[in-house]
Amino acid sequence: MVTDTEQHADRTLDELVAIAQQVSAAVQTVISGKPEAVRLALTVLLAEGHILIEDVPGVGKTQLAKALARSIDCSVRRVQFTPDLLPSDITGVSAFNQELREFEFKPGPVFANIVLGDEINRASPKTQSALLESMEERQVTVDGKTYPLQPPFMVIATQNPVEMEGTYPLPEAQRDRFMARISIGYPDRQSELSMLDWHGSSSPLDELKPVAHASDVRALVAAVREVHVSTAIRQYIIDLVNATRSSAELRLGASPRAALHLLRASRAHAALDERDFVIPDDVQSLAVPVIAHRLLPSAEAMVGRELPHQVLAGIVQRLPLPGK
Amino acid sequence: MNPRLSITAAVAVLAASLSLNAVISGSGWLLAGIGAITCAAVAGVLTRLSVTKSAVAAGLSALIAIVPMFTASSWYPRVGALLILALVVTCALAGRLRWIASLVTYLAIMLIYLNLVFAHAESVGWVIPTSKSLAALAKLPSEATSQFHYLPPILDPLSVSFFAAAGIGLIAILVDILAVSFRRPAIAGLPLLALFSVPVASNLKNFGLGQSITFAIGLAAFLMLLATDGRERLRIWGRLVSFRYVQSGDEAGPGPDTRDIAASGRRIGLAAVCLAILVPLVLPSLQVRDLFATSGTGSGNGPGGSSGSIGSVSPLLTVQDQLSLTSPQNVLSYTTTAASPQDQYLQVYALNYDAKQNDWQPVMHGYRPVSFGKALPVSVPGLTKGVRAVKVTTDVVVADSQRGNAYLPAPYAPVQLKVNGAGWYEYGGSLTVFSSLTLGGLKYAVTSLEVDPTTAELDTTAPAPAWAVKGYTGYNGPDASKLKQIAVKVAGTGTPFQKATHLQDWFLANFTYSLKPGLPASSGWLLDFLTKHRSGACQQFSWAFAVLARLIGIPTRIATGYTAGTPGSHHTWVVTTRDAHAWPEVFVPRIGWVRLEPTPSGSAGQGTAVVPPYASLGAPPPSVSPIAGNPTGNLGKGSTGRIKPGRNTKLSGLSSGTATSSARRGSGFPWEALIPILLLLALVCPAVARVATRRRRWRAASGDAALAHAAWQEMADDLADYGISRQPSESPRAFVRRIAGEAGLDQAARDAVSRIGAAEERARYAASARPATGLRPDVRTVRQAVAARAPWSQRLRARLFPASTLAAGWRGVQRTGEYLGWLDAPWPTVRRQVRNSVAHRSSS
Repeated sequence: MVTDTEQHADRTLDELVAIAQQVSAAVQTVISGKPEAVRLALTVLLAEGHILIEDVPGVGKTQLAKALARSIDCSVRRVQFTPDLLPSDITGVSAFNQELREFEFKPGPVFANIVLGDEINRASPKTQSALLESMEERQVTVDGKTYPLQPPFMVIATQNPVEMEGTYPLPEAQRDRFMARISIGYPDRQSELSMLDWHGSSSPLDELKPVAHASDVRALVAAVREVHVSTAIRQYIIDLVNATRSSAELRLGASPRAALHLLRASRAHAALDERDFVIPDDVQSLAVPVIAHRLLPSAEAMVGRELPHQVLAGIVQRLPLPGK
Repeated sequence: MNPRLSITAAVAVLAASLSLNAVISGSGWLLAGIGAITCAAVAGVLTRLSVTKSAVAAGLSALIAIVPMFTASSWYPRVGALLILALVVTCALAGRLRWIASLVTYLAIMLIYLNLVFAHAESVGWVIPTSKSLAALAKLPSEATSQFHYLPPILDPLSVSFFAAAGIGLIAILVDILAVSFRRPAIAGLPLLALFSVPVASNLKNFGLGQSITFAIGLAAFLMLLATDGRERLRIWGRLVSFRYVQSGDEAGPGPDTRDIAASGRRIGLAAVCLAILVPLVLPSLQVRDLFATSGTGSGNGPGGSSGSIGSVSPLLTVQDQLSLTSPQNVLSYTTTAASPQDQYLQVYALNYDAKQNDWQPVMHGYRPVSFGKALPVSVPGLTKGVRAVKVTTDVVVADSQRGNAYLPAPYAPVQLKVNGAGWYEYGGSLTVFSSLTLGGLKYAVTSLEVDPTTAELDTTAPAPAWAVKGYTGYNGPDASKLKQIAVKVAGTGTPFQKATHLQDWFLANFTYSLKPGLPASSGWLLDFLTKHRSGACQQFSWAFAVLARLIGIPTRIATGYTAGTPGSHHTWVVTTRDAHAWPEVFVPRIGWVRLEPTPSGSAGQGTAVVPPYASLGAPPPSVSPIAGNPTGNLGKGSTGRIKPGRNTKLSGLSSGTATSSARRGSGFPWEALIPILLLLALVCPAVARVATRRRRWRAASGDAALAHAAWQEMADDLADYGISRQPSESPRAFVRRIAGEAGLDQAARDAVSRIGAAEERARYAASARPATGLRPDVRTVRQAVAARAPWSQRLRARLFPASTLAAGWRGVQRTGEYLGWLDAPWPTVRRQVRNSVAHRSSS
């Protein structure tokens, strides 16, 4: 027998999926040939996380962030991180108002629903940490006064790979704040061809119209929170993070926050799949984007040229599901 | 220091010392040996402690061990003891001479242990040795060596236990020093080999399955020692990847993966051992028995084709050896009160047929002490009052040249013995008297009952007692049925004793005597002897007679010893090695064992052999004999001259076929018949278990979730039976996706699979399961679809040996292998599975 609450949940889920599909379709008009990246970005949005897009310059990191932001009718601010950027350039400043004869808070770009931090690793660590603090606490404190940020709040940060010149790589403690890391990668031949056709004549980003509203997103987030997570799945997540901690190939394993992020992302993933319960496949498909960027390889693994995400994929492949 | 190597070394010594089981009976020696091994291991651990601690241990143990020197009356030993103590402690503290202190520690602890176990009564507070207790210990070895004259397994008195414990302890010390202190476990195999060689070097006659098993156990323990050493060695320069101890701190740590090296080493070792064991089995020219047995004592060599080894004490072979001597030696001389001494044989052993080995073995059922001048502890078996018997006293002097076993030759049936020395025993109710003394030079007087039965008493038809029928009739060696035909024909009709005399007379009439009978040394020699060659010595005659008599239900045994010998001066009879003899004895109710003589005597035969008067007088009328035309009446007492072999067409017709040894060799319970039944059961078991599991699963499932689980499990098992296994990390959805792609199923089956998968997924992970209907037909659909595309061989295997059922057993094997480290890296599948299970264990 199907209960009322289930029916309600199903309806919300249906709506959610419809909206998500619209957003996804809209974003994909800009970023063609990368449905997984788009879907992951949506997942993180619904799971109330932040996303780190890491790739070489020019593959569409900013485009993805912008497209996602624009397809949802909400406030979007973009910060271009440079070495001389100051923390107050992000959080805002208290300026003296000559007329009112008092200090007045000028909100910085962080006061938006979606904040696009472009090339975050070009800024100094001090500035980076200003953004990261507000990411975690969803509030900004300037001159002793605290200003809350409005939900939905999502930071989409892009960064160049650490090997590139002129960068300050994010320390692991700060990488841990991002729910997921995406690597977009080069488009395939067909997508690149069509991109040349399209983008030569007009900018698809300019033509992108919002397909959802911030309030829709809030409702969706609430619906995602209702997705059922069984004990077995929770055990599985714990097993997974524990396996990263005890692996010989990893110097640093996943944090408890990573487990929490993985659980929330799995919920969103299940919801996007029109399911009101999480299955191991959700966790497995999200394990690498959600956990890999938090791991540090051991010396052995570095010698063996084994990257953390490869180690993690191996662990996921081997780790048995908890018994019934 | 990791004690694992010490423990393994101790276990290896223990396993090797198990092989002594064949030589020493009882278990006391083994317990003492285990104690000695433990002491050696403990001493070894003490010597490998830090310098100060090991010095303290060496000093203390040496101090306790040399207490007797301190308590000595003169002052030399005291000063010596002080010097020793000082020397030991100095050596222990000095860097280069530590080995002296170590050696002293080992020996002192061993001495203290032996003193505690074997001489604690004379010690101070059980532990501290005194000069008295040491003297008691010193006596034990000589007592023990006197035991070694006996046919193994020797009895287990205290002295033998001491000897065993001391020997095992010394070997344990050697092994500990070599394997643990010097890290040379391969060389430690030499002392272990010394333990193995004890039973081989002894007089032990028959090595059976038990010996092979104990040998294999010892070998396995030695390999284990090598493997453990390998693991310890690898740990020095690398991380030891051991699944067993993956969590323990001392093994973790970065380093190269050494599993492959270790595993390949083990596999090479295993292959080498398998090869060494299997090659002799496969190659026909190599006799497996010779791996273990002493030369010429294999079973079935009765016809004397083999010469017998010097150390052999098989009574029949002893007779053969003595008869074969080119120059006869004096054995003994005696005077007797018997009326006709020439009829009086001197019996040493009584042998019964051993069906397992198709051989004749001394009767062994324990032993009882014999007191000087008193009646033997066992009465004459079968003899009842009323039968006329004369008491005869015989005074025997054994020649000094006689060595070994003090098994006393005595006229049958001895009832009383006067002999000096302690420790005389009666051997297993056979009235054989023995002791640990040397036979040479012994003087003794034996009183025996010489039975003089009447013809009526002999020809009784009363049934023999059950023990005689059970223990002394029947034969299941080779050619039993053909031999029985011969026996029935030859024995003819009459009372049992008449039949026996018919048999005796047949042998005397138709066979010739030869010490080199030229019979094939095969198990089928007996038929050849009876039908073709018809030539042999007393062993063959007694053997053949006894077998035939047993086949027609007459309780029969073989006795060995000496004939009466030849009369010398002053009424003395002299017995030489020429008089060594074997003869059959049949059991006659109310009289007991009665001697018969099938061996031809005289100059062309066994010189001094004599047909007993009661058997030659009671010769049956010729009409009873089935062998017409063969006179039997001329075989009286002392008959001489070569007796021409008679030709018996009937009997030679019997032997036209070649001798086969197809007859069953074993005895008692028909184990061979069990084997096919067990095989059949083993064949059917997995299939039955699979069906039972299926039934139970469906029956036990109630509720939507349980039904979904049952369906899922059942489908997974079905697929596993057909070779599609599920990875433990695979979710239901992933598994469904894989088999839909891999298994080549039709659409209906694919739908069924996804329905089952979806139901299981919901049951496992959703808040509430969906109503599960039609899952059972779905499972069947999947099974049929998978079976349809499988080749017939796989279908058969899935039915008969379903992998899902066998997996449990396989897991057990895998665990064992994993535990022993044999399966570290044998092949990728297992390795992956083991790793998975470890990953799971470490993560949960």
